[in-house]
Amino acid sequence: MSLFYMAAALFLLGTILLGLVRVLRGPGSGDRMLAAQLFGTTGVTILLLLSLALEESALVDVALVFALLAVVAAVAFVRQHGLPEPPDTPIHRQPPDTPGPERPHDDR
Amino acid sequence: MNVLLVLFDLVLLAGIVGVAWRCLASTDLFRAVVLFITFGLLLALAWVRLEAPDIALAEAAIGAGITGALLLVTLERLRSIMAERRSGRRHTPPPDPTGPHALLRALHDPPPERRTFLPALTFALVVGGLLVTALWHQPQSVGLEPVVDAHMDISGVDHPITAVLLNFRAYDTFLELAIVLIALLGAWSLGRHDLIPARPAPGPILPGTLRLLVPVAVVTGVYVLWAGSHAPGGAFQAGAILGAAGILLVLARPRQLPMAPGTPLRLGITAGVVLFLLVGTYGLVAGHGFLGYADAWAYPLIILIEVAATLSIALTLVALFVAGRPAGDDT
Amino acid sequence: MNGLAETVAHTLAPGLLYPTGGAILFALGLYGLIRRHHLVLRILALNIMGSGVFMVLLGVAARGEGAPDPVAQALTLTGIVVAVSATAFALALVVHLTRLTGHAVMLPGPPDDDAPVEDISREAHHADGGPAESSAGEDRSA
Repeated sequence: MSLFYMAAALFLLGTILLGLVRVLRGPGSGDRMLAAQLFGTTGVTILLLLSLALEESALVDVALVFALLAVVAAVAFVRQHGLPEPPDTPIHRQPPDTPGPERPHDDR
Repeated sequence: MNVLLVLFDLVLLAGIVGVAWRCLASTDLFRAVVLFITFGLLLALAWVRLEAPDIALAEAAIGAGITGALLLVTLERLRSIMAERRSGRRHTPPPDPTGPHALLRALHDPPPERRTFLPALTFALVVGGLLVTALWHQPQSVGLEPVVDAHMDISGVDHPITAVLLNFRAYDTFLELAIVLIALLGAWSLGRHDLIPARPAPGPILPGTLRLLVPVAVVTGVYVLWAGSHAPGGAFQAGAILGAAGILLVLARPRQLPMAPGTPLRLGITAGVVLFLLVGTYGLVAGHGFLGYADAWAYPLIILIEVAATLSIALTLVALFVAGRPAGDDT
Repeated sequence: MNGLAETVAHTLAPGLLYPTGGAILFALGLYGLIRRHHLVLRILALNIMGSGVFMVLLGVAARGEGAPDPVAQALTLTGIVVAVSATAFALALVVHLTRLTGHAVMLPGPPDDDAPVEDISREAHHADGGPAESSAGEDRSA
C-alpha cells in the first residue's frame, strides 16, 4: 500500500510543477496568488501521503500547520489588492481620483 | 518503493532549484514573492524527506504564515511610498486598480546588465563547484547522535532536539532569542510604524474566517508547544504559529492594532531572554554552571523557559511584521 | 556492472543528493545576490542561500544508518528563526530607505560620494517606467 501512497505523492508533486506555469505566466497577480494557494492544498495532501508511506505520524502535524496558515498569505494578498469586482459595479465607474471608499489606499 | 523515493527526491530537488532560479530571475517583484512562497512549501517537503519533521514544522509555520504575508505587505508599502512621492511632485490620478500590472508598476527590477553576467557566473560556479566537491569527499562520521542518545535520561525531556535546544546547547538558544530581540530593537529604532496599507475587504468572509481560524491556530500553537517535550514541536514552532495568528489579527484590523501598548508588550517581548538569563544565572550560583540545571529540576525549568520563549517569539514576530514602535508609545 | 549500480545508488542517497542540491541553491543565491539590484530581490537571494546552507546541514545530518544527528537539526531550527527575524529587519530597513530616497534599488558601480542625489532618483524612475523628471528626492523632504 505504501507503494501506492508514494506514487500518488509523486504524481501530486508533478501537478505542483505543472501549476508553476500559472505562477510564471500570470497574467494577473490574482492568478499567481491563487496558484500558490492551490500548491498549499496539494502540499498538505503530499504531506499526509508521505506520513502514511514513511510511517511518520508527526507529519500530520506539519500538514495541519500548513492547512491552517496557508490562509495568512491569502488574507495579506486580499488586503493589499482588494477583492475583484464585476466591471459594472457603480463604484467602479467613479472617476479614478475621487476620494471615496474605493481609493486604492486608505492609509492616510 | 526505493525507485519511487529516488524519483521523488529528484523531482523535488529539480523543482526547488527551478523555482529559486525563476524567483531570482523575475523582473516582476510580485512574481518573485509568489515563487518564494512556493519555494518555502517545497523546502518543507525536502525537510520531511531528510527525516527532520521539526524543521518541516518550523518551515511550514514560518514559510506559510509569516514570510509570505511579510513580503506581500512590504511590496505594498514600497508601492504606496513611491506612489505618494510621485504624486507629491505632479498630480496624477491613482493607478487603475483592475489593470493586471497597474498596481505593480513601481515594483519592477530591470533585468541585470550584461557586463556582470560572466564574472557573476564564474564566481557562483567556482563557489558551488568547491562546495559540491567538498561535500562529496567529506569523510563519513556518525556525528553527535550517539552522544545525545547516551545522555537523554538526564535531559529532562524525551525528544532529542528539544533536549539539545534547551539543555545540552541551551547557550545557542539563549543567544538566538537575544538576536531575535535585537532584530526587533533595530526595527523599532527606525521610528514609529506607519499604518499597514490595506484596502477594504467588504463582506462576511474575512471576519468569519478569522473567527474560525484564530482560535484553532492558538490551540494548535499550544499543542505544538506541549508536544515538544516528547515529539516534533517546541517553542520555535509554537511561537511561529502563534505569531502567524497574531499577523492574521493585524491584517484583519490594520487600523486598530490589537497590540498591548507599552509595558506589557515590552515585558512579553523580553520574557524569553530575561527568564533564560535568570535560570542560567541561578545554575551558575547553584554550581551547575551557566545555563545548567539540577537533573530533578530539568523538566519544569525547560517547560517554563519554553513557555516564555514561545510568548516572546510570537510577540516579536508580530511586532516585526508591524515594523516600528507602536503608535502612542512615547517613551 | 554491480559496481556501477552501487555507485549510482550511493550517489542518489538523500545524504549526498540533498547536500548537492543545497550547494547548488547556495551558488544560485550568490549569483542572484550579485546580479540583481532591487533590495527585496537581494533579500530573497540571501534567504535562498540560507536555505541552501540548511539543506547541506540537514542532508549531512541524515547520512548513514539510524536516526539523524539531532544537534545539526537543532542548529538549523535556530538558524531558521534567526533568518526570519533578520529578513523582517532587513525589509523594515528597505522600507525606511525607500521613504528617505524614493527608491529601493542598489545601483551598480562603486559609490560616488560627489554624485548629487537627483541622479540616482532619476535613474530609478527610468528603471520602473515612471516619468523621468528632475529631482524626486528634494522637493518633499524640505
